Amino acid sequence: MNNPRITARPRQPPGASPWSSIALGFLFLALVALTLGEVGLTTVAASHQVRVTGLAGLGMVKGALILWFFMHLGQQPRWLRRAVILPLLLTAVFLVVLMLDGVVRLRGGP
Amino acid sequence: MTGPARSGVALPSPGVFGMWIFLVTDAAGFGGLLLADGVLRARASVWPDPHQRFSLGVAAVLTFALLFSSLTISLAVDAARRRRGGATLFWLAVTVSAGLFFVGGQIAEYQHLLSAQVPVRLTTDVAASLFFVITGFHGVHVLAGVVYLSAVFVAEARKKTPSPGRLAVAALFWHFVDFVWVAIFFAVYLLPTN
Repeated sequence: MNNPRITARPRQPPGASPWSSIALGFLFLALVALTLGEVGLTTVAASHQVRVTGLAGLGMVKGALILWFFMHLGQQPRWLRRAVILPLLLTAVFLVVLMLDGVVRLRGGP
Repeated sequence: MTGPARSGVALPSPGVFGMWIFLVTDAAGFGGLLLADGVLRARASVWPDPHQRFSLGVAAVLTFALLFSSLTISLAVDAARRRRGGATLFWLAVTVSAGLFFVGGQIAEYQHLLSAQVPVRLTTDVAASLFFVITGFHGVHVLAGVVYLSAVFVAEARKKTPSPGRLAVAALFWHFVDFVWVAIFFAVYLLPTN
């Protein structure tokens, strides 16, 4: 007898895409626009912090769009979404903490 | 297809689930490399300006190629779902071509760096080492994806009706390659030095 707790419950047929070809095209154009925004931001005469923050923000939006819409992470079960997103967030947190630590050490801080 | 179980745990198809598990572990490898890049960059007193060393225009074109290939592989999966074998093969071929274009562009960039007046080699400095290791590791993934998609193309060409499930698993890997490139593009090519 099958265990109902581990019964497969696909939300849609394998390979099914909830996005139409037109929606995918708009997604591609959005990603291209964000990339152009990134390239443009490198030429803007802004402070280092503003450029880094802006570039990081645009990059994260691009990554999120690819994960959510192209890779259909939004259609996956909640536990799988968490299993994917948590390591990504942890890596970002580690990166920020270690880079800050490096900057503090370089400047002779505590 | 298995019917819905109200108290059951929703599971993706075995292929998709296996690919997600692989991608999470593979992402750890890229995460380690990008962490190393960030830490070494932050602790270095001098770091070469990526805008002077690398061609941002070439990197942007390669980015567009990968983004375009993500669109085309999605269109291939969509065509397979609609049982359009010809369109599936067409979009798969376009995706493989975009992948080959990316690999070719990366090889050309390496050649340009190695043959420049002041050549940039693996042993030039830490930044150059990280550049070649990170982009090389990613390039191997793109090449693996091209081989994978080519194998799927051959398998689909031999069948009368396309199999969207198999294509969806391959597409997942290809989108991951694109996803990782977004992080590499930011960390290696865009992030300005102090």
